[in-house]
Amino acid sequence: MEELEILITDCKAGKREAQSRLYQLYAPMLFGVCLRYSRDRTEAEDSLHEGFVLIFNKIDQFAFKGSFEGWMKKIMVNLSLEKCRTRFKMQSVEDISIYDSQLADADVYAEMNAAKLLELIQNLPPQYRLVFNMYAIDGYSHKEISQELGIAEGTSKSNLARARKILQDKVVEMGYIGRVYAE
Amino acid sequence: MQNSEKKIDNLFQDKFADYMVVPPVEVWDKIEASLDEKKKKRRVFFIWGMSSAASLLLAFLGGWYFSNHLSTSPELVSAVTNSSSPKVVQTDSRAVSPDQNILLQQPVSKNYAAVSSSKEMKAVQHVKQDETSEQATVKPNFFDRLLNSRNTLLKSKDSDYSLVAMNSNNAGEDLSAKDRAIIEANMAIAKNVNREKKSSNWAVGVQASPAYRFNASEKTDYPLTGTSVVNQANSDQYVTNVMGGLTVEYSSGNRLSFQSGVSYGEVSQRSGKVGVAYSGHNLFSGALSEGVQYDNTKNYFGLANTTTNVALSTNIGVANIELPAGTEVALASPSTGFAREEVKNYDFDQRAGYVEVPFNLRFMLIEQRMGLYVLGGLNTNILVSNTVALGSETEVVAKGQIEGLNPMTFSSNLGLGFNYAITKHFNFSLEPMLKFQLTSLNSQSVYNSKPYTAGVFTGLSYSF
Repeated sequence: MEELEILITDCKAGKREAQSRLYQLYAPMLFGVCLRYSRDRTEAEDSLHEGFVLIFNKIDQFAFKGSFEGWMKKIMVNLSLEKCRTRFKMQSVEDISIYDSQLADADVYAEMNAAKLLELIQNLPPQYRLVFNMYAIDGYSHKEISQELGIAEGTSKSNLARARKILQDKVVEMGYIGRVYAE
Repeated sequence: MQNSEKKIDNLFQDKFADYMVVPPVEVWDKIEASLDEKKKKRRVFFIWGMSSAASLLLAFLGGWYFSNHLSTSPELVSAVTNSSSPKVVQTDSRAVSPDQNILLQQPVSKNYAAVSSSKEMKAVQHVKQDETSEQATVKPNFFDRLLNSRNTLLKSKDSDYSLVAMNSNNAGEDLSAKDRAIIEANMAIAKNVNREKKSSNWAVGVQASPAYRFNASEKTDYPLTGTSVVNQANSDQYVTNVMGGLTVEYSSGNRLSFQSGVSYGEVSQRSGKVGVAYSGHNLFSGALSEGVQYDNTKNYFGLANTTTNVALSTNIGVANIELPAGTEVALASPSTGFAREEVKNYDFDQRAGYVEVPFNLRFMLIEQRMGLYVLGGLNTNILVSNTVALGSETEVVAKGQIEGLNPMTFSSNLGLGFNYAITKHFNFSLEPMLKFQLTSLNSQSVYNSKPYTAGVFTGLSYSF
């Protein structure tokens, strides 16, 4: 930890060597985040690029409170949100009840490899992708999501349900599991 | 089903919570490039910030000084023309002191060949002190006296006699005749030096800029009572248009140059809010006719109590518009209104064209192929056109003009410039400029109209 603090302090001073080291340490993790929030690999690379420039510019504001990893991750997520916000107008999705109880129930999920799953996430409509990522993987609550995206909590919930449904269907389509709708 | 939701969430969470992918190498290269660029930008912004802050400060000080200390315009011009002259004297003094022989070559100097160089230095100092101690208003006299003395000395064959004459003329002036002679000799030398220094010191060019005008001065509403002037409902913005023209430039020394030329610009206002109703419908007297539909939602200019002329208050003065027979201008007040069917909305289009003759001093801060400079000076603006029109794109219904516009006004310029030498002779320049109106556009006291003008001039010049 001590080592990280020194590294951060050096980055604050704008030392290129420290910046490079920080990048080496955290780029793989943050690239993972970018990939999830992006439409494709090119967009993810752009996000990583912009995100790191942002991190180095804002690193002065990091007050050694809380996890540095979390702080960087948050910057990346916010950047992705911002990108989506400018590119698409957020639209709300109809009632969520129709998607209830339409989800698969199988342990075969575990067999799916990350690359395939990533493809599924990336192919989601932008807003579903954001909501699903934030809720299911990054642990945001619906309330937080609604604030971050400027949408209603209900919209966040229905988007999540929609995303789950699409993912589920795709998983089925790919033949990993059978359709197991709980009728 | 709660369970199945969890399952799909968990699947993704497990896979992606610690998901790591090594990004391609070129991403870091891009980041590095961006960081370098940011640094460079910051440096440029710093220079920009500093220099624009400095020029703004100068501009405001200049504007404040001129508007407070110089009430009438002719004085402005003379003050500026004269202020540059003592500098010439300063340069000259440096040029002469090391070499006494130069003095010998001058027609007046034979009596002073023996003057020691230390004395000369004193004389030079004398001049300097004199210059600093005197106020700007006194400078013209000082300069005139110098010129007089030079002429007297040059004309006279007997230099002793001429000196006596000078002394008696300028009793109380503490410059000795010797000093004068030295200064005078210096001037001649300086002229020669300047002539030799640079081969290309004239330049002509063209430049143009968008003109953003905005009001910073108070506009008193024209008094309504007893006049036919109606206050405009909504104060209108100036129209952003193009200003530009020809430039002539002469560089006197290494860093300093004088710039003049001639350019054209329009102070213009536009509004699409004038409702014109045709006569026969009594819509504007305040009492509404029965059975007529009124549209209270629109915002219109006011109404004058006359049917042949209407006067509208604008940013730069009263627009006096002559109406063709049978037209009336509808009311601004929402309590009245007019018939929807009978009203046409016409554009109010005002233009005052000015030919501007600038006199600017330019000082180079960075003398490279890509240079940076500050410039400032005075503009003489001559009113060449003054029109107001009510109409649509296809027709003009009524014409008029702004009353009381001054035929000549003065403004000050302050700007920052970048230039780039494309070739040896061609120069590209970019000049963010601020113009401060020193005298009001309108002679009527209720319109103290001094709009600021901001612009970025793009120019191309040819030096020879």
